[in-house]
Amino acid sequence: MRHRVTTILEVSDLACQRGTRRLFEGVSFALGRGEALVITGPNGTGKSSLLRILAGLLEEEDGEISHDDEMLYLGHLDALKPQMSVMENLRFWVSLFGGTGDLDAALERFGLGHIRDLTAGVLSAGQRRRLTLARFCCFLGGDSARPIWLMDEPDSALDDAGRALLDDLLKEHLSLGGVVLAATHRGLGIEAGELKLGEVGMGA
Amino acid sequence: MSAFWSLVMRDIKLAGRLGGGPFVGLGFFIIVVTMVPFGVGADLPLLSRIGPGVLWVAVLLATLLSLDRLFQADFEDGSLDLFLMSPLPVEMQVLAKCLAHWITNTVPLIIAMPAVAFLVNLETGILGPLLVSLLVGTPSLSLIGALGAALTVGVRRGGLVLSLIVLPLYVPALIFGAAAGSGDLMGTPMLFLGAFSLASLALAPFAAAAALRISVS
Repeated sequence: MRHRVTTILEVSDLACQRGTRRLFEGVSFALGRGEALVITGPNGTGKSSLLRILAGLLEEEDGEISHDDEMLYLGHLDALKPQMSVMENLRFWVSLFGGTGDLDAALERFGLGHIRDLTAGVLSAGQRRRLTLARFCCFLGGDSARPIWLMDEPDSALDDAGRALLDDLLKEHLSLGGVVLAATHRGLGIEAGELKLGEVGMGA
Repeated sequence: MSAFWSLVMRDIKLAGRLGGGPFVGLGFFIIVVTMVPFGVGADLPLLSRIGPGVLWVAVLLATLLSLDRLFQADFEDGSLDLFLMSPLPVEMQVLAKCLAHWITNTVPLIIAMPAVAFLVNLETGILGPLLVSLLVGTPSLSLIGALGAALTVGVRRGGLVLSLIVLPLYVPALIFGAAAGSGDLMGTPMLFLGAFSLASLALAPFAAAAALRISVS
């Protein structure tokens, strides 16, 4: 394990059990400011479970997690209310998590500015994903309220332009001292360490 | 706006935009009360004697109607995951959701009460104590209901299980509520009703928050 003075997230010997199945064990890594880790592995090897454990939504079977800063989580589900407008959805989550930043600029950045008053119920899957990503614009950098980003397949449903926007967002976050952990199948356009689940001798 | 109030406002907004909005619960309440005279016959003294109890039972049922969606919609669309990670304590979120539920569901019933009470021939002198008993007692319905909703959030067709869990717990509110609603403004039943509401205010948010944490994992 690498040690740094700036380590803000450290995981050692983490194990996860779902039902009777041991999904993974012995997962260890440490991340400092401006670093990213991509979690890869076949379906059902525990990528989402690992992120949910880090987010505190799932109990770990074994191991230790320590982090100095707060986390922001992006799951498979969009957590958008179809009865509320694009802007209302964004404003609610940002205010609940104490984010700072220009909401209009966040929508513009992900190409949603022209539909800010439309209800989220009529959005396409890609637009919904863009809206959830716009939420992260308000937590950019290591000094934000939530500098550790846990993202479960952030690029799902995105088109090429959307994926480029996502990469830009992640790069900016990392350059400002944030931390990214993402589970992905296709890889992201950022420099990142890789954690492969479902193999012997795991670790980064 | 603080996180607590933005959650209250969000739930109120959502309740208003859901199909039918707050009028579904209100309509249900009115129909249940209307059924009673058909069932027991046009015996006016009898109706006015059972009136407070009938109105309280109808309020219980109308409250139950909207409870199963209290956390379930948020569970299904992933909002609950984010709620559990938010800086606002989960217990406070439960309180915020209960407050929004009470405002959108119960307050319309209380406002409609003077008109609906007419259907069971309630004596005009009783209306005051009945309204006070509802204001004092109904918050406990939302709070205990939140506990039931949190326990059944991951259960398919959890609404039925929810009724089985919650209705027995409503019995003290019903006993003291109906008694307070037909008697003294500051009599013993009213004081017990207040105590019951305060006890559920103190206990239910913690129990519901614990149940929510279990249900997402």
